[in-house]
Amino acid sequence: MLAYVASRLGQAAITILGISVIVFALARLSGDAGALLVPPEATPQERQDIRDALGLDRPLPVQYGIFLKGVVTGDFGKSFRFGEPALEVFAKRFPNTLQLAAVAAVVALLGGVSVGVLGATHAGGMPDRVITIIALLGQAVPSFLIAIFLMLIFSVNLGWLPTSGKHGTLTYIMPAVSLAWYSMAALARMTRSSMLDVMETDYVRLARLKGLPESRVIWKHAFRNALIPILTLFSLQLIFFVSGSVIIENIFAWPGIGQLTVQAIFSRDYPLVQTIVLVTSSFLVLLNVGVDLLYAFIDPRIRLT
Amino acid sequence: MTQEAQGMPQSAALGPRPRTAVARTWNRLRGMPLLPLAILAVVVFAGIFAPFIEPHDPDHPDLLRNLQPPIGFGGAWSYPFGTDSLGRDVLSRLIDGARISLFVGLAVVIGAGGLGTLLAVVAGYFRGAVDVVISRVTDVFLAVPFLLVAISVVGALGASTQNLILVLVFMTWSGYTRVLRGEVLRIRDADYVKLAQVAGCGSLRILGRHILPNIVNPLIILATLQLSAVIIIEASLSFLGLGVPPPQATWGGMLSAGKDYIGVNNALVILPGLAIALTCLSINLIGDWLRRVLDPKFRAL
Repeated sequence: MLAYVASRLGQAAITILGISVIVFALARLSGDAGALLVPPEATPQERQDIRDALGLDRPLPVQYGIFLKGVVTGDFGKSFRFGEPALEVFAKRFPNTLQLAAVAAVVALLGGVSVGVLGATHAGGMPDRVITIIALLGQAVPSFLIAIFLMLIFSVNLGWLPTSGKHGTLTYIMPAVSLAWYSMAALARMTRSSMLDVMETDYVRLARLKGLPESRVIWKHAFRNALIPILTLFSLQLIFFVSGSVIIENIFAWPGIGQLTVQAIFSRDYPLVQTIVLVTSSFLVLLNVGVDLLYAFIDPRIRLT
Repeated sequence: MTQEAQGMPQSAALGPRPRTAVARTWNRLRGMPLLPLAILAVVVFAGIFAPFIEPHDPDHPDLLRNLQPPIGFGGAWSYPFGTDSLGRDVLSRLIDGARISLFVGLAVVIGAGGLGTLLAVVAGYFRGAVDVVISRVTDVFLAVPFLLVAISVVGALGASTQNLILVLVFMTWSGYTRVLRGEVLRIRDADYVKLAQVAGCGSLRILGRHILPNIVNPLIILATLQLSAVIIIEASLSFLGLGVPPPQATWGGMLSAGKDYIGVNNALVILPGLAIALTCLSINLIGDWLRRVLDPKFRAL
């Protein structure tokens, strides 16, 4: 187990280092990094000071070293737009994104599982067909399209839900459902097929033969055993709830890091872009490692592969 | 339709062999996802012949005729799908959008598929240190939150079709390498490859004659899956203004502009939305069918 933990953590460290190279390269891709990393209103003297601090006139490996040193000590530079340390701007917005992601994850899990179980218990019937179609649409219709159609129906035509912002429970509904949409479809498909496999097994037949009520057979005997592949898929989707917010937050004006990223890109606020991409990516990579370790802890077979 | 697409190939394959040629052809056709193939054929035709079939110049604004509704909602035949806020013809822009979606989709699939396959073959065939390095790099790219990094790279480079394609190729080759490397490893140990080595075949000949032909099927399946994913990503990025830059018509860009006119002219979001959904749904259904036909191992999935 210890060897497994060490190897997964080592892998995560390499991945985060790889992302830091990409992030470092970002500002250097477009030619003069000074033009991107120095605030536009800086005086020539300030300009030169920042160039010296970032080592912009020195070779690239040295610049990368300076960049990495800043990252390790928590110094990501100042956001031009907000005039505050980029890390603080990020920290203010990140909880909003996490809240939305958590709600979306719950919606996807509950929705996907109940729809999938319904499909499996009515295999071949009408609910099953409807579910198959929904699952197919889930993978073919991009989330921003769902968002727009939800807005069209529930805000414009029915006037039930507010279109944007984050104030109160109602504003969570449409962003969370659009963010959950794709995962919900995938989870429904996985639940359905996993449940169908389990329903064929002898112990489920035995439970039926014993005369247990159908709901008990389904939830206690079948569903519990069908749960592992469903949870695996769900853990793979966790990343998506955060990175998918880039699009959803911009549609619903949700004050999280997805909206912040696009604003920062358009206002060419590079210190902020670098911070968001690096910190969010590291967070997601570590989240993945956490899930993997949890799995290895639950299922010893995984450690061996 | 979905039931047919899923149920038929097996029964067509397992049933008694039909006697007449007509019946045999019919049986084979029944197994194909005909409607998705027809929809995709229309999109491909529109994309290839866009300049010849567009009724109007897709980028030509005409403010006097802006926001006209489609036919059936009070519109005229001269603009069958109506016009957008600048008075540009929606039908022509949809056709132009098909062209750009397919172009970006195919370019990325060819680029990422080519690069991913090359690395998979090198890693799987030569093994050793090369394999270790390629596999580690593949792991890094698979773990990167793709969308976030992609938009920031496109943002840094500046939005253009070329940059979009390069970034998507750079960020997506790893999926091919992961799957195909495993296949190459498996095939390399097969008896026929060992026999070829004993018979004195060089590495190039073994790669070209024995290994590549055997990974074509999984490659085609992966490529189909990626094609619809890339079309969705391109639409998403264009929607955010970080994909193909305007005035070039794209489905994502049309949606983004149309969303400001929800309630005024809903066709401006519904039509490009339908175009994306139908195209991707068709590609996915064709992909499912290809998977059943080409790869018996994947059928259980």
